[in-house]
Amino acid sequence: MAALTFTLKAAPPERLDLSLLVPDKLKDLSAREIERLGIGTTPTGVVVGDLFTVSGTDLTDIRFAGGSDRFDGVGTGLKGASLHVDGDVGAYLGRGMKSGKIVVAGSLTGPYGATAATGGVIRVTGNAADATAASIPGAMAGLAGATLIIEGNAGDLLGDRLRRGVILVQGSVGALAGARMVGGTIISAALGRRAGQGMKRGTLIAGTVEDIEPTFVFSGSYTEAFLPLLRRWVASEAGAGFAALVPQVAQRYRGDMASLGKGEILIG
Amino acid sequence: MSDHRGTRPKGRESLVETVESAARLIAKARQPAIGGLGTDVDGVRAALALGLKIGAIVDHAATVYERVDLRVLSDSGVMVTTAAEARHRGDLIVLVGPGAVAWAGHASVFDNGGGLYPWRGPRGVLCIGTGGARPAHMAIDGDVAVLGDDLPLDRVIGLLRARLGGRPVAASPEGLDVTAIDAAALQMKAASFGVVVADAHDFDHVAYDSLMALVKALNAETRFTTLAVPAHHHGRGANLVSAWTTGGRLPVGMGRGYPEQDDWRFDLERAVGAGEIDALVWVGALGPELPEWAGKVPTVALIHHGAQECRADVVIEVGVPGITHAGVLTDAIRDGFAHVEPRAPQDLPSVAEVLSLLSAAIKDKAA
Repeated sequence: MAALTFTLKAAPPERLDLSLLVPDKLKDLSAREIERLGIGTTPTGVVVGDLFTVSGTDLTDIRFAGGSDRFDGVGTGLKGASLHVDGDVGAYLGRGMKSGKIVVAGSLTGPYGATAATGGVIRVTGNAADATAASIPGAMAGLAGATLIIEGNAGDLLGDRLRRGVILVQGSVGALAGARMVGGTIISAALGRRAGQGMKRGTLIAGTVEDIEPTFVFSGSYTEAFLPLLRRWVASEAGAGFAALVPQVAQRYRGDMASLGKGEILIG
Repeated sequence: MSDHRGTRPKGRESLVETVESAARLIAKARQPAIGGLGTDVDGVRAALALGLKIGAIVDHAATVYERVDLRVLSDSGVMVTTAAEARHRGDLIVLVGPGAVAWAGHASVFDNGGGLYPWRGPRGVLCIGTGGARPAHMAIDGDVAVLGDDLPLDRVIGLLRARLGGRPVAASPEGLDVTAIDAAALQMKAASFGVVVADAHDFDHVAYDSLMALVKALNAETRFTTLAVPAHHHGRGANLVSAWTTGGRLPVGMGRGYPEQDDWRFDLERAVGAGEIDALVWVGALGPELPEWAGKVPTVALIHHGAQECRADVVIEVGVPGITHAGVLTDAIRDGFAHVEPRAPQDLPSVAEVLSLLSAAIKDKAA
């Protein structure tokens, strides 16, 4: 069976909600029915067939040939399938994802990628916008168990209210990484200002942290067995390039003392 | 008024014609938007009704109030009081950030000591992270205490929360002494009824959430609450109308025939910049003026009588609720809705009237 492929025919004239294009929502539909699914967000009533050529039938392997910063909700609630986007996506990539794998050969140009995702792996070859893996307003959790791999840089508020799971960023991260997080791990080359502000539990690991908050308290050098184990796991999940982000020896800061204070920032 | 770019009605007859040209501009749009929303309850209701009909994005100009104040209310919850309670009960007024100082000096909430409760002790004032600003017109017993004038607000609040909870902190790069933090924490704990005053414009949602957590922590030992600087241009009223009409706060998008709430997708400035909006109705009966970014889209502006400059394509002068016609508005001091009689009645259409005409004109085009 060939992969179920959505080939973009023209630039989207409006923001699209592609949350319906996941196996659970498509499994009982014919190709004609899929083409008639509404994906527009204005009264114009844009349907799949207006913008995409649909081919293939394999629901476990979904592909978007072509992307756009107006692709919202790609891979929402994905369970057990593989999804590939050849291009950029907008907001809410992999929102509430349960399991499976998403690869974006491009950048996340909108916020809340991987929000509330409880399982699976998301890999982004480009950059990630502000509030990636962050909680949407009013929600208790951002990323909640999935693994998010970003090969480029990430913006501000990465993992705001992170609940569980691992975020790996090959490049640098903006301000407020891991703000208000209650669990999980963020690993990156560099974190910006106000890293971990308001975090209760969890771990931030970075080569450098800009202007670390005084509510993080130095608690010595860290050479526990955990770091080599983590490095090995990162190498198997994301590759050797990411494994190098995990230091051999780290300076450990406990915090955020403003909040519960049971989190840590490891710098090395 | 010949200096205006757009067409502008010269009487009731020409109002109908102007509304028709506005309707043509909106009817051909893929994604219209209604912004500003500085109007009374009837005006906001009419805007939401029109929005649902044409599938518009609807937002109020007080975006910081929505994205910071109301967001933290839904994220974590907040403790709030009214201005009257704060004035009469508060024996420690904590002004957090420069916006709080400016408001406390200007809004005359604290210009008298409040004499309702004879058992209340003297009123102290603590300025936190106000950047050197001090209240000029507050009735104060004793001196104004100060903490962290040179620190970013989020940092000084974090340090206070840590010391209040008895947890250690590192030396701050600004050289703020831990004993000073402890003294401020002690002063707050010693208050019988503390009131934190804050302006959401001085914060992002993370820092504001932290401030609310500080107040929550203080309630373990004493009574502490907050008083937020009210949203500008009737922002609170507009959001309340949206809450009872659409089920959520602003912004809402109704492109799919039902209201959806989304701070990012329906951020008008962002969406206009990204070319997602192709017609804008700006409602500025109570202000504010048309923003710079509105110049990028065809715009219909409902502006208040007497506004001199407006660059919109179609300009419709409307009355001002409470000035030229009666209206229902939120009273920020009483924190309730109030019917306001006109102070200087004039025969000018209300926002609700114009938007209803606009809605009817669009229906006619579609028929």
